[in-house]
Amino acid sequence: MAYTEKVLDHYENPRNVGSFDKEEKNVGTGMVGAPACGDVMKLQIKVNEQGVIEDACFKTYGCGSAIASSSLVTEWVKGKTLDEAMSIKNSEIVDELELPPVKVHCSVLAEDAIKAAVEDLKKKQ
Amino acid sequence: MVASTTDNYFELFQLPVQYTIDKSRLSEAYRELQRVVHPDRFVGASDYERRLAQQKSTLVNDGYRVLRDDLSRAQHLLHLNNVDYQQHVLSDSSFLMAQIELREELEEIAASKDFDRFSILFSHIQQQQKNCKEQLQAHFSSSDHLQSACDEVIKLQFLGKLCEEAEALEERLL
Repeated sequence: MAYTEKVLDHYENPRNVGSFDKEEKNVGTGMVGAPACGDVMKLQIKVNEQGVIEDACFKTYGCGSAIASSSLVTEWVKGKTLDEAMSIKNSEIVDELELPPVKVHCSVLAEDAIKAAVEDLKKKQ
Repeated sequence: MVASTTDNYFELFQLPVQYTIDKSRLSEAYRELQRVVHPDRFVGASDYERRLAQQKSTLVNDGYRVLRDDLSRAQHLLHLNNVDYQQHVLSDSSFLMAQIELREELEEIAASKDFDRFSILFSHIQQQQKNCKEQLQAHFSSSDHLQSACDEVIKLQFLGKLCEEAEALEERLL
C-alpha cells in the first residue's frame, strides 16, 4: 500500500524521537500497544511550571503510519496545556496525514498514547 | 460447509474442546479427514460433490493450521467462548514498557552486530513465549480465567511480532 507524502515525510524524518527520564516529576509517559499488529508506542511529555507542554518525544515500533501519527502528535502538543493535549482527536491525525481506513487504528493509538501520558503526569502531580 | 465464524475445529477433528490437545491425535485425525475428502475419490462424482469435497478439504486445512499453533488455538478457543480478545485491554502495563525495551535492545544489537548478545536476547524472548503458553494452559483449565487468558494471548501477539523481527535480524547477522 502506498503511503501519502505526509506519512513518508514523518516516517523518513521523524520529529522528536527519543526518551525522557520517566522518573522525573514533570515527565508524563504514555505506553500503548496494538495487539493485533504488535505495534508498540511510547509517548512522553515534559511540562513547565505553568502546566504547559514544553517538550515531547516518542519511540514507536510499528508501521510507517504509526510512526508518522506519533511523530505528528509530538509536534502538535508542544506549547499546549494538558487539557488542550487531551482534546486531540484521532480524526484530526487521520485528516492531516490522509490515512486510509485500514490505518485509522494507528491514529487511535497515538491519541491513546497522548492521553495516557497526560494521565500519568496528573497522577504524579 | 464454507468456513464460517461458528466452525468449531475441535469438533471437526473430534478432539475435546480444551487448550491442551494431543497433537499426534490431531495429525492422525487430519490425515484421515484429508483422505476422505481427497480429490482422487471424487473423480467420477458430480460437480456439486467435487465442490463440496474441495470446500471440506479447505476447512480441514484451516482447522489443522489453527489447532496446531499454540497461539491461534488459544484465539480459537476464546472465539468459541465469545470472548473478544482484540478489544481486551492489557492489564499489565509494565509488559508494554518491557516490549519497548526489548525492541530498543534489538536495535542496539543490529547496530553493534553482537551475536552473543543476540543469542541471549533471542532465548529470553523464547522463554517468555513459553511462559505465556504455560499460563494459557493454567487459565484455560478454569473457565473463570478467560480474561486472564486474553492477557496471555495479547502478550503472545506482541512477542510473536518481536520474534519475527528478531528472526529477520538473525538472518542479517549470520
